[in-house]
Amino acid sequence: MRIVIPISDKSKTSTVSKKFARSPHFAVVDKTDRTVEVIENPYADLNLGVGKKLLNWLTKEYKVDTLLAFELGLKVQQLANESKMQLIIINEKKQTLKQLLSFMKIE
Amino acid sequence: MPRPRQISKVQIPPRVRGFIPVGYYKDQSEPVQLNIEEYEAIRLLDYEGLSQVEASHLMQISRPTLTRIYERARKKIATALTEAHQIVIEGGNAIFNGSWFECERCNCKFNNPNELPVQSCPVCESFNLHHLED
Repeated sequence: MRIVIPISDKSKTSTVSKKFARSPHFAVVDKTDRTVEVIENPYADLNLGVGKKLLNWLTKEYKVDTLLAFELGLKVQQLANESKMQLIIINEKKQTLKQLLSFMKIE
Repeated sequence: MPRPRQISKVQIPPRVRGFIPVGYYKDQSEPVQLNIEEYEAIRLLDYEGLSQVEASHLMQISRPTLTRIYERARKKIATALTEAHQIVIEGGNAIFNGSWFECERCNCKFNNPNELPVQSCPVCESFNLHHLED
């Protein structure tokens, strides 16, 4: 299982971004290998069609199959549903990556 | 005999089960029950800013039905705000888009797109899960 988490900056203390597609960075968590990779969002400043390009990139380059977010835009939800990706909605707006990784018993 | 109500499709379950008024007031009144489809109508139209046609397609109901649901929802919320009622989000005639679960430990909600047996939370691996019924 590879989970992508939108985060506000590159550090482990960064918080989960409020919106998924416009997040400046992502953490890609591999639950099987127990690894974390922080990547930049190349589409963060794109005007239109961010969701589709982003999901294609995340699935092709990083083999992501699960999206974790506080909130997902409608377009991303629809595209994720079409691709049979799992959606995880967290309830804490200011949750940090460190706390999430601790929950996942990764760090 | 009245026509049966159309079943609405809801994209993501509501984050919480309701809201309570803040401040002192004596003799708490009966809570206002906001149906799941009424919550979804408010979310799609007022929060996401969709048109009624777009929202009705997503909810898989007719546009006039959506208008009626939306008007009911606004009336209920206005009543709750003005008369200081609790709002309870439950019931109604809706199905979720796929099956959804809530983890009792980390409180995340997650779906099961491949319909595989769900045993533990994908975040904290807790077995204490609650299947969110429509």
